[in-house]
Amino acid sequence: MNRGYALLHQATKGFRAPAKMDTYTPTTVSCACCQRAWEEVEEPGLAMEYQYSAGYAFESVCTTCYTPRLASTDMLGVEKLARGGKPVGGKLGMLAGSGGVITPSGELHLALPQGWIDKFQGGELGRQGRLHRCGAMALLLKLQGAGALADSHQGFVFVENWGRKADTLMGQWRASFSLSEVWCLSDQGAEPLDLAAMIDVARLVHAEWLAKKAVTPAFWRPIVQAAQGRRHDASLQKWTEGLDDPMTLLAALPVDPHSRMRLTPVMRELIPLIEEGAL
Amino acid sequence: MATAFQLRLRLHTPVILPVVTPRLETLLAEALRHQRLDWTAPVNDLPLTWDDQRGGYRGSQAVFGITAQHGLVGQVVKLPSSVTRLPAHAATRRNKPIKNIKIDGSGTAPKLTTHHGYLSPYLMFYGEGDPEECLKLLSLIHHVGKEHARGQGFFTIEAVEPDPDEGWRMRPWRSAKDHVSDRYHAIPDTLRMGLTGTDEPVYRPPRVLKEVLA
Repeated sequence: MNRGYALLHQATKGFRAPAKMDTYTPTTVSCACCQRAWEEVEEPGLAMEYQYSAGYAFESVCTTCYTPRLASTDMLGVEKLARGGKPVGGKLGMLAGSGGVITPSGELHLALPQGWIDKFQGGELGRQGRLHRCGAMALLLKLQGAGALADSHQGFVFVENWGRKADTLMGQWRASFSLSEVWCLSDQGAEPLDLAAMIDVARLVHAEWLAKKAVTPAFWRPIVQAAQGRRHDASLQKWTEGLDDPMTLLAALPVDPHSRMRLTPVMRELIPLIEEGAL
Repeated sequence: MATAFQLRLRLHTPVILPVVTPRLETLLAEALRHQRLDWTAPVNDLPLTWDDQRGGYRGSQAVFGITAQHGLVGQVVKLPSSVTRLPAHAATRRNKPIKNIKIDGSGTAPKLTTHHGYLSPYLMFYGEGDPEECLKLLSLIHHVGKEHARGQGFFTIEAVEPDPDEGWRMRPWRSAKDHVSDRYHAIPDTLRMGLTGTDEPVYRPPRVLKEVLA
């Protein structure tokens, strides 16, 4: 569990400029966000004060959990100009709808829309070419293809959506060690996904000339309904009759029913990549 | 004389899997601690064979047993969040009076936390050791997995049968070669091998395993 936090801490050193880190010695038992004891966190015994809003209680969070709340003009770039023209830096926790990957060597790559790439091009990450105009899953597979995730025991972190709720994101932060079990982190929590099986399925449906159908919920409905406990044998029978080799496709589906429920959105990400020849 | 066995449990409510799938040894250790009413003393006398060469107990992780009629179903379980933060100490800091206490959700209505539950007709464990003693111990506990105190993962013991296929291999091992190769692909991870000790690089089965029963 600590490996994921260690990777984030390593990848975001530049965000934690000493001048911004108003740390103090906490009096609590553990970090209010990740619940790790103060001797287990990356900077033991150092806490940052966090308050949800005026009038709410103060919470002591570790420096790693506080990182998505830190604005950095150096690393990310200028988010906006405040009154008086003072530049305000971008925060990782404000990149709602965007994702990112931290490689085993501790490099942070962000998957952003073009507008944000233009905005953050002047930051350290932009200069190093770590801002990518693609989806989070496409970025993960691009880095995998480039061999950046090769050291599997070191782990990597896949952020599907930085979202708006940094406390939920950081509370369930964890590293993944294989494409067969990728922890998709978002501000809704962490969810495992068998991406290796999903890639096999995408290749099979593409080979059967079903790529257009496979991005619609109607195509996967019998499978998803069965995974939800609403199996309809007649629909399943009809579904298998429409395929050349149904047994191979059924065998390739992920075992986890919660992964099966995500077939349509994941196919929408993967099938264009196969059509481009990137997978 | 240690025998290899398959322990079949009938599952009645969805199991919420923790990050690490429960193993037979951890379940038996929990039962032993219940029996002794001591959760601090180390547990060294489990009725499972200790594999000296591989450095772990011969007991598998949980495997979902499905039938031709009933498969493995994913259920979304929503439960009120437990209050893990006690901000009373924070309220006294810096002499600032506290007006609201932030609990997940709001001050009056706790948020429902979403869990991924798994329901199948059976839940199985494989092991090598003394099956009778394992049964006695398992009869002391009735739930497995996360939120077990709130009724999730309720099971009853169905049967114990001999297992000729070394199903106990379905647990983390230091080497990928120690796994049953044709059932799944081992995943690298960092976990501890026994009930105590430090985390080390291991190869483990996927979190969700299923097996078709006749």
